[in-house]
Amino acid sequence: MRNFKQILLAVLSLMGYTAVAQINVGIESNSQYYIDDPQIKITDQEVKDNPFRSNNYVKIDYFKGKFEAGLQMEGYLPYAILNYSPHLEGVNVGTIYARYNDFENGIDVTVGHFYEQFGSGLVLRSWEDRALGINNSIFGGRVKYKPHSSTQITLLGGKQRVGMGFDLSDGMVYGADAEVDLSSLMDKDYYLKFGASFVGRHQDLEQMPDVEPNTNMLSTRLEYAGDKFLIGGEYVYKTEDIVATPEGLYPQYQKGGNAFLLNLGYNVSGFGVNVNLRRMENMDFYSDRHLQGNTFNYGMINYVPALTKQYDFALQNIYIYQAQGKYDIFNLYKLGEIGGQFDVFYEAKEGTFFGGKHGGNFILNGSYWAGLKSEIQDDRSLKSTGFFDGGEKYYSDIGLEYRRKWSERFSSIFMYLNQYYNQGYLEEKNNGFVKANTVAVEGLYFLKPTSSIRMELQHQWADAYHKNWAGATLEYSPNSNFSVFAHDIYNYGNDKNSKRIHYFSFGASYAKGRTRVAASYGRQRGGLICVGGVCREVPEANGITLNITTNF
Amino acid sequence: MTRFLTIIAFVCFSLSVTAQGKLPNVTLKDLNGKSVNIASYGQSDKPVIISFWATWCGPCLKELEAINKVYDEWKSETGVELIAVSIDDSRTRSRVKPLVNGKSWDYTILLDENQELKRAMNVVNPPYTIIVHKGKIVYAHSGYTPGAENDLYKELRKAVGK
Repeated sequence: MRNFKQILLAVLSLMGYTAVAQINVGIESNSQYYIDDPQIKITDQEVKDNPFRSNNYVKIDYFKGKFEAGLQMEGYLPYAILNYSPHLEGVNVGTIYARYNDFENGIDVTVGHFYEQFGSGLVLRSWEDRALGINNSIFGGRVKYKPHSSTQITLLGGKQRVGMGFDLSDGMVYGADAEVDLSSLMDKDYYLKFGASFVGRHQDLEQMPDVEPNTNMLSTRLEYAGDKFLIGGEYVYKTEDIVATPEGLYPQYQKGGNAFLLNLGYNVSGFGVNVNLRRMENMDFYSDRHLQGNTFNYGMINYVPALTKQYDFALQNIYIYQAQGKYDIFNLYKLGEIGGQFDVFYEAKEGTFFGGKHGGNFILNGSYWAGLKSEIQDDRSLKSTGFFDGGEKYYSDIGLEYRRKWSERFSSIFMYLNQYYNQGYLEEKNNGFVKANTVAVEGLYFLKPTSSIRMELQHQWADAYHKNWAGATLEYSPNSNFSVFAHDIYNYGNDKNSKRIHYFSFGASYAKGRTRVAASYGRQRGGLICVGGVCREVPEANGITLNITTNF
Repeated sequence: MTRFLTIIAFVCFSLSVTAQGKLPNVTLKDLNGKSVNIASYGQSDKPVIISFWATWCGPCLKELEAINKVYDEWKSETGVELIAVSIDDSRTRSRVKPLVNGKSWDYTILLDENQELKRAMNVVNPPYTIIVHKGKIVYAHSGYTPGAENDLYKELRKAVGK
């Protein structure tokens, strides 16, 4: 903690000459006070003793000319909110960095914690998501250099943050990336970009000195975008590594990995199509092998998101697909996944049947994901039977959304979603699958130009697991600063009487300028909370929540 | 706890010294893959609205759809240009372009795929909307409630002195 005082002093002294400098400050505070509820009991004695928990972040960045420095302090007071990692504790530095960024000459050097992504992130992505408790920034050094306006080269090395700012992973991560805009070199009016990356992880295992410490990922990518049509692809190759599971390391088994990603698009005014196809084998990549499959998503070097749509309504988010990059030779015999998704966006112009007087638009989307069909080899490893051979079906969905503005005062959203969810394989418990159909409608009515009432009604029919749900939301915004809401989802169809629970909550939010304050009271449903493409299991809870964000 | 309070006190102190007034030097890609330095939007004489959004953010879509209905009027009245900065990451990024086309949005779209600009400007959650005029951030608003675009337009007119 002495460090911290010194840092504070250092930053304060830097502020001594802020004449032409700028300081940006961002503050976020999220608190929960857990309250025992007849249907959602607090079972953990530790939570009973400390029902108040809060996560606080203060980020300060200093800019002066080409120089930049920043500090993010984090305080988990007195403890982190439930189901955040126990390594997030007390008040300490979250990230700290200094940077020299000469934009004109294409030189950008960072020392300290930094965030980076190569290509689509399949080989490397370090990022922060506070809602998920993820901060896998790399502590080390990074150099970005543009020898020519078409070309960017990035070199980096360091250790990943796996707790508070100076809790670093055991393994070392290093990477190199080059990206060339070929179209600007050739002066074409279409867009053509080529990229290549290398990412290595070096971890010596004391107990297993014979294990190769290095595991590498190599990737190449190419993207083309014309006037209407676009196509892009990425191929990733991962060198062999020993098999690791949350239970331990198995140096007797080794496996490499790979991934293919293909994106297609067609776009004209009023109409757009997107298609993503992906196949991958054994793509988990951690900066410490012991972190393999950890529930807090610590030490992830790469980013392998589920390529499915993120839906808006609560009941559409009960069965959520998670990308299956894992290699499992002990339990369910998983080698990877294959599948794809598509989206079609269409504008119903004003004056047409679906557009009416004020216009409307449609979105149709769908996805299908399956495991890879594989054979068990003599050495127990899994081998794919063929590139396109799909195995067990994991997930599929098809959704339709229609938005329409009916008059100056009234607009609506209609949504239908059909899902197939293989619970046995995805959650690795309760063999079985769920078929669910969800309908949601939303109406928004303006009382005055800045005053409105919004109402949401939802229903889900499911043949297994939670079975049927119903939900409703009512929100009233008297002006553009303030809004109040009441929300309830009710699992009335659950087989277990004790699980037929109303998850009722109500709250208010107030926003003025850069500041937003939101408070709510009620129950929150347990299950997977997913942001971006990464999910975290949270328990159900009852209590008061307070969120404050501001910056200046 | 006291340490944390010290930080808060220090933060308040820093407020009196200087404030977030300018756009940072962050390079983003547009939908055609071209690199754009966001700071370059601070140099225009015309006002610029920068709106952080994502394809998965319901209120963001409502805000941009509402502005889209009145955007032509805003442009002719104030000369404004709206830069919609998508913070979609690689999970949803490929949905940005067809969505923008499918909704016939006439905005300048920039991609902040690993959220570098979002972090540099201390934006916690989208939607987050700012007005930049003659190099300075003159207005910022966090969140969106239906109809809030009317207040945004008032601020925009105020900024250009109408």
